[in-house]
Amino acid sequence: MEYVTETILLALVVVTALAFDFTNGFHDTGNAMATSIATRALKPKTAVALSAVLNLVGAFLSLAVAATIAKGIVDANIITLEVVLAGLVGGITWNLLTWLLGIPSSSSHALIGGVVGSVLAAVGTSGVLWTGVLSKVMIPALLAPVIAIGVAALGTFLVARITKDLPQDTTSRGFRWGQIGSASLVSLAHGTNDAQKSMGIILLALIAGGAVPADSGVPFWVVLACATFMALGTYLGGWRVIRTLGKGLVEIDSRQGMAAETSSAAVILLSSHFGFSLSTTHVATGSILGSGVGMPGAKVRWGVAGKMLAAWGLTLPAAGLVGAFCFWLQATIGGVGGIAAVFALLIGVSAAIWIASRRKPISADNVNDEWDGDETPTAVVDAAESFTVNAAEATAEAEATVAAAPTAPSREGVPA
Amino acid sequence: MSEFIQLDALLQVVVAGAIVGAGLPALFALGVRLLAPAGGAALAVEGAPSGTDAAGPTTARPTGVRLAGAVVCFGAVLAACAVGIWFLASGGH
Repeated sequence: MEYVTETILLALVVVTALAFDFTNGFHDTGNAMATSIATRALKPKTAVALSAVLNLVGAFLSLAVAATIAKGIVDANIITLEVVLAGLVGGITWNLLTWLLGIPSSSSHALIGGVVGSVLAAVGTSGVLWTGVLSKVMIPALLAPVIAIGVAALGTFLVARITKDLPQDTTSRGFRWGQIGSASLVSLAHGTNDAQKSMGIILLALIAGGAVPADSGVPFWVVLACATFMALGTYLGGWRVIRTLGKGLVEIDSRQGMAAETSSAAVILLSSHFGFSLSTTHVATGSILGSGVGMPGAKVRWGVAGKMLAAWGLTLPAAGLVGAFCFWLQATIGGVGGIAAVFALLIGVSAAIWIASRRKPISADNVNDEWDGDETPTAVVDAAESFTVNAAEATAEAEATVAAAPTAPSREGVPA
Repeated sequence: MSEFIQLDALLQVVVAGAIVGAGLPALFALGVRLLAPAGGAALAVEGAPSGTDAAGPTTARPTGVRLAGAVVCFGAVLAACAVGIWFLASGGH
């Protein structure tokens, strides 16, 4: 029985890690491609296809995997498969929820939040290295947009001055190419950095499950699977997030787009070079804001930006809450039933969020529509309401599934 | 505070980020300007590299000097991209 449980757990961790990889792909497409889509440098479908290919290539570009997750943030000895599974579910849930609301938010912070939450549920506060949480997650999350806004604003300002008496069609033609090039570099960097996170998790799970020796490199099928899922997610296109980034923050032209993407690429690569890693999402969002700040006469919708900042602040606690709840659910039910319950919860919540997204679908066809001034508040409230309703239904459904599972002993009610 | 912020790393990111992240778009813009048909009047861009000054005659086609300047600008941008890709491939992240 023990062996069966372990095997099922290992399989589910691998599947969930790939699912996280997938959400990571479609959530972050906008970081690279939103500006190129908004300025029509690329057709929406072409942009996501290009980004998907570059993510795929990027994933194979380097395999310097550090097989650690949340290193320096939680006590490494506590990371078990159960903790990882609950953490992944927390990360995926937050990724999907922010996607539903069209808010770009950091996938790595969501994953870290989920893992921190499940560690808290597993062993309490002693398992979390709070200095690490502050110095590696919270403070960078505040600094990244500030740095990116500054760099992109300076770049945009210089570009605007240099090209100010050139006709617009001349600048558009030239800058669209620059924009596509810099956006491609951001996509490539994303594939290299983010696909490796999922590879690291799967490798860790395989080692913990005894499927590969402890000193094993990443098996090829893991690299292939992670690269493919990331690319598929990217190709699906997180249109809701792309719309917010491309149209919601700033009305962008190709000069601003080029300056923003170059700033993103430069800050992302330099920050990892100097060992002060910043979230791709935070940098990309900051750069787009900066391209509005630096452009004379451009309007920046600070209200939309403020909501994003709030969401970034919530990422860690929110994903943590889900991660903690999942670990608690898993431990309370125990065994295969516990794992199945967590997995059923993940499927239920994902389905509910997807159904909620159908009420106001955003696709390649309407991603570039004019941004309605009132759009964000109403859309968010609507989406949040329908999410609450659907989530309640899904939780009830998940409970029913769990209750029907033969191995599930009777237990206390699960809070909806 | 230094326990929570690696100040030196932060400073490096800010300075290098400003030079590369804002300098490359400016170089690119200069390149686009040099290739632009109308030519435009002499342009005073502070901090622009010498030798790529846009003081050429107003002709429909870019002259040799302007073309060479543009090639230098775009070449620098492409070289920076190549360094970026090399950095990713070498696993330096």
